[in-house]
Amino acid sequence: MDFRNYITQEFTPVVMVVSSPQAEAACQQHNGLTVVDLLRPYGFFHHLSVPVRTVGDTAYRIKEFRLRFFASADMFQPSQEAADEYLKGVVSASATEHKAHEAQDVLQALKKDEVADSTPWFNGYRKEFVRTLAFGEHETFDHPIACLLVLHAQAEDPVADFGDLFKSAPLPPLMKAGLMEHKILKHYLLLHDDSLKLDGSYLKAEEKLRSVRASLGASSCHLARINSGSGDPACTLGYEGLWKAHIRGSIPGGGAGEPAERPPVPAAGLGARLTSADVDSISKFLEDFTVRALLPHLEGRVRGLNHQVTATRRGLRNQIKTLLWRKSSADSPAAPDYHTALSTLRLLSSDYKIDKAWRNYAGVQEMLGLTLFMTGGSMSEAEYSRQHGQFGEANYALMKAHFQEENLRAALLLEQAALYLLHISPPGIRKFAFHMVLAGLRFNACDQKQLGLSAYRQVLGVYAGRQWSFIEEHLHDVLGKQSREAGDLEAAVQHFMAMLPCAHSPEHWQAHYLRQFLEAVQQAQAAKGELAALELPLPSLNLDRMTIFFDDQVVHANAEALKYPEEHWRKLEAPFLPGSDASLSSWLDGASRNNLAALQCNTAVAGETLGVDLELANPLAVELQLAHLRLVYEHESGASGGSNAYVQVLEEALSLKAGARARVRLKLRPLRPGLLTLKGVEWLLNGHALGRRMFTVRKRTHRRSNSRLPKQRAANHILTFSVLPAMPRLDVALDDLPSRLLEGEMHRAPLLLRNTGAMPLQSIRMLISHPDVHCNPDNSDLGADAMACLAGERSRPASSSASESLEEPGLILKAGQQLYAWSPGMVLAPGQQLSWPLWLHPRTPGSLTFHCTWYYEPSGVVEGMKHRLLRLTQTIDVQAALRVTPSISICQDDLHRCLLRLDVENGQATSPIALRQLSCSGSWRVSSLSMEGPHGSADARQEDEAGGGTSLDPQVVVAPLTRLSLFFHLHPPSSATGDISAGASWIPLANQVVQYFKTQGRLTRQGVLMTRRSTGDLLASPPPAPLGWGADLMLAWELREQQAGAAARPARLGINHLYNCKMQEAVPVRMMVHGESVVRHGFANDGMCLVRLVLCLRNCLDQPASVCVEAGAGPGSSTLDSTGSWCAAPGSSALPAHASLPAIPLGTPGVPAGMLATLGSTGQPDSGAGPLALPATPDYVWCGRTRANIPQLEAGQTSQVELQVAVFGAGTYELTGVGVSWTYPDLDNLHATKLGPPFLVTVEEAA
Amino acid sequence: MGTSVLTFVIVGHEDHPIYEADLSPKAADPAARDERAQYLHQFVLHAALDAVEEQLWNTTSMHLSVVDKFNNLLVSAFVTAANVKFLLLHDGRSDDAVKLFFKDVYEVYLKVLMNPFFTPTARITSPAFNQKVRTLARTYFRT
Repeated sequence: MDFRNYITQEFTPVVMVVSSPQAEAACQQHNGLTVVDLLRPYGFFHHLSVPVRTVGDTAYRIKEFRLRFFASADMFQPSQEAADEYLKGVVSASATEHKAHEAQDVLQALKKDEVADSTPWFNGYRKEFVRTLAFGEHETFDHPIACLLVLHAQAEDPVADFGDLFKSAPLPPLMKAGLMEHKILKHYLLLHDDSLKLDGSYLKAEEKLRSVRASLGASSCHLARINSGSGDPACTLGYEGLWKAHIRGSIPGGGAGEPAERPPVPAAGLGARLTSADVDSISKFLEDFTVRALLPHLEGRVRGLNHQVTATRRGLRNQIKTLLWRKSSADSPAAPDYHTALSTLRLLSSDYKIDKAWRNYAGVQEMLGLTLFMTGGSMSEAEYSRQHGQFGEANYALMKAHFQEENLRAALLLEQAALYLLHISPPGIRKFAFHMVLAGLRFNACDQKQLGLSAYRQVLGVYAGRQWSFIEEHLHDVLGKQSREAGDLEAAVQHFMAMLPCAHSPEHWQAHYLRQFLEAVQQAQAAKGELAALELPLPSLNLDRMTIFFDDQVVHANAEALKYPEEHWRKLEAPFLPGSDASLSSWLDGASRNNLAALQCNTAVAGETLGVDLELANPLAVELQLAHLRLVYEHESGASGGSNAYVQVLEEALSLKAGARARVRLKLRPLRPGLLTLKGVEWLLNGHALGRRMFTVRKRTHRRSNSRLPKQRAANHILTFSVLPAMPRLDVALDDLPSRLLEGEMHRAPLLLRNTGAMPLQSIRMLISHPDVHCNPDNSDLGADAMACLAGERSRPASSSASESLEEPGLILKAGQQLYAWSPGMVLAPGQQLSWPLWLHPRTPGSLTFHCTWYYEPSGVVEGMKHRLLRLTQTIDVQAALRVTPSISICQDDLHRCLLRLDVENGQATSPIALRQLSCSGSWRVSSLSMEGPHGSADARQEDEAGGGTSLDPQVVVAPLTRLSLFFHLHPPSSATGDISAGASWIPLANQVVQYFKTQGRLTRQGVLMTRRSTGDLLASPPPAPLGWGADLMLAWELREQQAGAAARPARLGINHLYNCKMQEAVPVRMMVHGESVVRHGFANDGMCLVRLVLCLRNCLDQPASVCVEAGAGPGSSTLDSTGSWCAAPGSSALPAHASLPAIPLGTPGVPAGMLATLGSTGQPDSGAGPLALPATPDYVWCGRTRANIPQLEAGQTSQVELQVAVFGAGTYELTGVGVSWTYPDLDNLHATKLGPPFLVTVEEAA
Repeated sequence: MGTSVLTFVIVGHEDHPIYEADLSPKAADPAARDERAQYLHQFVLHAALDAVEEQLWNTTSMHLSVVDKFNNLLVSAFVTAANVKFLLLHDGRSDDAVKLFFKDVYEVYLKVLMNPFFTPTARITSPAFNQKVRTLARTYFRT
């Protein structure tokens, strides 16, 4: 409402109406209107043109004029309590009328630019509030300027009655107090009641009028005629709205211009008996009254007062008069007068200030404000500010105002203040929200629930989702409680639900909120039956981490298999599926694939379980109980909800402890073909609240993308499944597969294949990805223990009834992959199973990861799926067990044998390892020699007859974390080897499994070497092939874990293969000196003793050689790099240790070759000196034939050369100086020279 | 100052509080915490955002001093270049102390911001940051 209009409408002159009871009755009885009601609609004159001249010399015309009518009896201020009570009623009625509780969110309203300046209830309140303030002690706005006396026309003596009426009339408070002069303008009205139907009564009335006019003045008396109508509802004027607009609510106890009780409304509505003639007569009367009497009266009054004021200027005496004057002057609606009024008022205010008449002063100030406003001055009053767009200031004024007010008024003011904030640019939404919340609090405090609710609802949007946790909690708390009180249980449930994720609150609050929510849910259920599922925030679900598991054409046997990408498996499965290689696809295939993708669904098989892994978390400190946790689905047939003929839903139940997290797999089993969509999850929280969370389709959910369309498969379609009819399904179980194995262990795990589908299957093929895993070609030895399988003859009948064999045993593909195929005729019926031994032999410590995949076909025709695949991945920890380092050197006392030394180290921390057997590949043989080390006492029994190996019996035990060395003889293949038959625990090299792993190992090793070579790492020492000699060794061991009570566990069997063991130094020609080691000779008879020696030579290469032997000469050079020394043995009893002998170089440079003897320097032993001090004595001489040539020594052949040495005294001699040089003409003239081995001989004096 | 009020909030984008701390000495004692007051504080702080955005344009400095008040609660503000707002609700601390406090918190905040794993819209959960803010509060406000 325009404030200017408001002022001109509200602050208008008041006419006091005093009516006689008869006149009232005549009016009320038939029309339901009081006399005042009757007059009010006609108190507005807009077509006037009355010239007025007040202060100045110029006259102006009044064009519009308003009058307010009040019954004199009602002209008092109602009591505070009554007024407040009444105003409350006004507000709540207004709130109900305008549907306050349906207030929309302020943000949306702001977007649509629908923010109102003020709320309807505020306007209503303001209007009524101003009214209750009327007739106050200090203000005169509502003081009457004229008095209208109304008499019934039937009155006997109107003149006297008029006088009585005025005297007996209750006066307004100011008049009663004597502040106001009693002498005001009086006007007289006679009401003629037509309904009395008395003949000629109207004439009589006119007569009375005349008499009254004669005595009271012609211009101040009027006659009006009413009730001329019939009262028939059909012919009313239809002015009811007009009457109603001017009737205001009654305050209990009356006052504020309205009677305490209104007359009853007649059946035909208000003003039932009034005709247009009646109405016209009233309006004509009022116009006459205004123009002829009132305005001239006012004009004179203003002029008089002004004169008084200007004359006397100031003084208390003026007070009353000026008040009156002020009144009238303010009422004058013409602009020039406002200025006059203003100046006068300013004068007055200073008067009042001096006089300390504060109340009056305030009144004057107020009036000043109004006047100023009308003259366009500035003013900081809230309404005024609003009018001028200064909403901010308005807000400030209202905020200031609200503090001292009682709740309702404060709330209204706050609300209004908040609204103004929205009109500031940019809108102060957050402040608005705060004010609204405060208003809401006040509303609630004064029981205006609807308005409180509305205030809160509007601001919810401002705060929601902004993570101001306490604010949201508070809002929802209040809203929830109020909704519950208002009976809107569903809203209450919603609000209480919004409070649930309150992890920041202390535990008892959390528990309280939860309880409150559940109670609300129960109440709502009691009231409305089953509630729809709620979007419960508890527990919190992480849908981003949702994983869907299902089996279509591909079945993953374990979770680990899922971790590998599709490409990996495609590569592995390529041998099964010729032509499906992804790399071969071209754009031509695109069309058909897109068609498949256009189906936008995954494939599932009826009767098989779909799983969804969900992560649940409980953010609260209160335990949550979840029951009936299940998937929500929609089947093509329309079925949904729980289990039915189409789908079987498996429900879960769990309880989440405070702060706990859980991962749950929800399962669902489609039973019939069709299209199935997973929609979401449902659960029952703490037994009462049904929660539901829908899957958002847009989100990417991980799954292993199926088969060939990993990219085309749009991630958002994967919740839909095309369910195929029942299929066969192969499940695999690897029983007895430990999580850790030892390096080199031979472990047998039974592989159990089982058809768990609904159809028979056939054409099973299997692929194993790792060379360390192997499958037996038949499954006959499943019953026996692992040792028995490896050892012993294949004594079982070839065609045992229980055994089946592979059609294609172990086809080895690239990179150690093995392909197995079972006979296509073999059919596995549903429920039937097939077990097969799987051998594991990890060879490197670390971890062994291998993949197995199976291919099979349904034995019947199933549309949509020709074959299925099963994938399995296993990872096993491999621990270091036995480290074996072989070293081979030539045997000094034999031209054929070699010496094998095995350094064995047990890498196990706790368990000792027992060595069982050492075998050698090819036709070489191993025999035990002796042993040194910590367990040196162990006796190794030689079992030469066992062919390629030796078993260690009793077994050599290597204690944990120790190492020891074992020594063996290696025999060349020359001697014939018998078949192997060394008892039950003997592992033959020819065993299929052992053989397989050995071959694989060699391949792997070569592969490694090849790669190394290619990278140039190991270019240094590739030994020349002809000189190399490689033997493959196999060391079998077993480990019994020493655990209390675990004795029943079978020993763990292991095999270490040692490939290509070579001699440390390869010698093409091996040589050995034979001869008598003790010679007796009588030196007394003969001073020279001849010792005969035989030098045996063997050509170890496969090419002929020519060999030259020269005794006592340097081999090809003048310097001997070997040492020759002797030691005299006076007692000739013991041979001193070699190491203690001083090394004395023999010979000198420049000694010509071909000398018969090499003489050392001669010297005498020092007296009393020990053996160390003895000088070297060159007292032996090579003699006889000192040079021999063997022009042709065939490969592998042995030759002997006889040598002689002359000794000249008793003692022990180390005979050296035999040089052997050889040449291989066929091997690029390979030539070398070497000293022959030293030979010790002891010459004793013959008795 | 028996019931001193000292609440510090960092408000990020879209009015999301990314860090909240009750720095008053009583905050350490959960029993003494007045829950009603916490509601009121949040309301006042949130409402002050309007005032902050209004005052932004009146000054070139980051520190806006007292921008809003409600009864005896004052809200001081500091706005970073990225329009992240530091708000401090207090009951009449000296503006100099508040200014210094904001300045030092800003330094610490920048360190948090430099963490490559921190996104400016995420909540600050770093315990080190929390500790430092509390130390600063103790230094400047002697709480």
